[in-house]
Amino acid sequence: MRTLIVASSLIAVPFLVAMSRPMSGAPSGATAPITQPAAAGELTLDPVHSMALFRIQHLEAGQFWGRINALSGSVAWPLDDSAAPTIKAVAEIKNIDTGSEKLDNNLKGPNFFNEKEFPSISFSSTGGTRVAERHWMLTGDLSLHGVTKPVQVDCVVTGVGKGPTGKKVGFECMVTIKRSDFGMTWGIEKPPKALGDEVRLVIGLEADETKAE
Amino acid sequence: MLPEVALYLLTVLLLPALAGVAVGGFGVVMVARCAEADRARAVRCAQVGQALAAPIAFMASFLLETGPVGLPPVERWHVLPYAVGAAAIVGAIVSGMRSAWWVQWSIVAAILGGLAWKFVVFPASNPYLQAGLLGSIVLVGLLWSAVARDACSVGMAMMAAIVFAGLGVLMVLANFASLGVMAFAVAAALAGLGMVSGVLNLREAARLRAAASVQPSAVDAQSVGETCPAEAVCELVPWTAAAATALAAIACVLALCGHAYNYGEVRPLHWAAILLSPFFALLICRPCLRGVKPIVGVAWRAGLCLVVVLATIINAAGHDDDADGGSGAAGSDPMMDMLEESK
Repeated sequence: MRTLIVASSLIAVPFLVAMSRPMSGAPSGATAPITQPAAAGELTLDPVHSMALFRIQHLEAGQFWGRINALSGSVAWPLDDSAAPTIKAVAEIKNIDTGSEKLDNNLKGPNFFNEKEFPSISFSSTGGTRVAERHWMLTGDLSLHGVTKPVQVDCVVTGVGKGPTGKKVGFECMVTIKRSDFGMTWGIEKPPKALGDEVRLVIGLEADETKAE
Repeated sequence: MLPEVALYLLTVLLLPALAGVAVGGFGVVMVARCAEADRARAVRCAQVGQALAAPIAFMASFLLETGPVGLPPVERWHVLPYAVGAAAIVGAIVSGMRSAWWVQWSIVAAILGGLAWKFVVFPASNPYLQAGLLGSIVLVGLLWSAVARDACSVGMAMMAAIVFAGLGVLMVLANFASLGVMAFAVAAALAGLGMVSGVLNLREAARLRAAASVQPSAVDAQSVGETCPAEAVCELVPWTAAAATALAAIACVLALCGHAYNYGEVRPLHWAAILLSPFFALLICRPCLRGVKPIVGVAWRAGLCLVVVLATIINAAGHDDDADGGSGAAGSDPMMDMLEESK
């Protein structure tokens, strides 16, 4: 009987130890270096912590900031930074938030985003070049107001952490566009100089490791 | 900044309005200059110009505000210049025809209603909305034709100007400022046309009265009294039912566009009330105005229309304020916002 218990324990202990390790196989501890190149894992954007801030000059004076909340989409990026992240992000115009409902409605209207016809803005990266460690210059297509144009997006990996569902990766991307390129011209010349043409977008993304189904 | 805004308004509002007044008013001026015997043809030409005035103002304003648009349009509301252009062509052609008012109304309402039903499709459209557009063009066209027959040309132009100005305000409240400016341009053109018609009609009345008093033998005083009674408006160029129906069709399409892109608290009833406001002018019928000065008649009719339009705008603006106040927008109580969020 004693022999049977000892034998069972010898079999069970390694099994339990193996079970207690994280499923992802990543080293524990946030500061531990990534030693093994991870596959370009599919990460899903966390809408609560992903948003786009836009900045535009108002009446040739202040720089006005607004945001579009709850971005959705996905990111494919190897955790060892061996390749550029592939970002697909969608911003719903209905989630625009300037702090003023009247201004939000004005921006959703046909003078600006025309949300009823073009309900979302999307970006899909097609490639990228390394600028520095965890810093990439992505190229991709930005679709806005029914017009799709190639843009270059400066993208920094802000960190890799752990969330309730697994790994969490943060990105901060910046791009400056001319809204007139996308057919959004109200306020540039007519009415004159009401709003600037250049719009700076600062996009904060937080992506979660996709759970295996 | 102020001179630039003034220049902008001059470009997209005043110039298009002047273009409309020029086209519509030119015919009236020519009729006024014509000898009475040669007027029949000139009046028909002037009626064509009258039908073109508002569409020209709209299209000029659209072109200056938005720029040229392709076909098919990238944005659905860019169908407007084509729709207004169709209204201009149909309204002008039928205005030039010698036919009864109901024939003109039927032709214009059928053609423009059919075109709008098929081609003027805004976001969130459905078969019921399209049928509603067709029905509203027929009904509002009938109403405006009746107004054109009952009121003088000045009254008709002024009432239409009030309606388009009202639509412009609703569009601004619906957060569609550029379309609002275009509606204001149409309103300004119609108001200008009304003023030109008013001045020339009064001059004509004075001329006929003077002619009757100086040369009673040359001018049959009885016939002068019949065509232009001393205290009534002397009509040089009356509005045709075709022009009135085409104008009503433009108003209906603009109202539906404003409704389709509404990001304010403007409700369908507000658009309908503005479109139907000339009905109240019909309550002051022609016999009621017998013996009063022309300007008093115009003031009564336009005034009633204006009261309805103003009441509608005040109601719509009130809803807008209510919506903003209760939504936790900037300036509201942050504690209330937190309570709302905690719910």
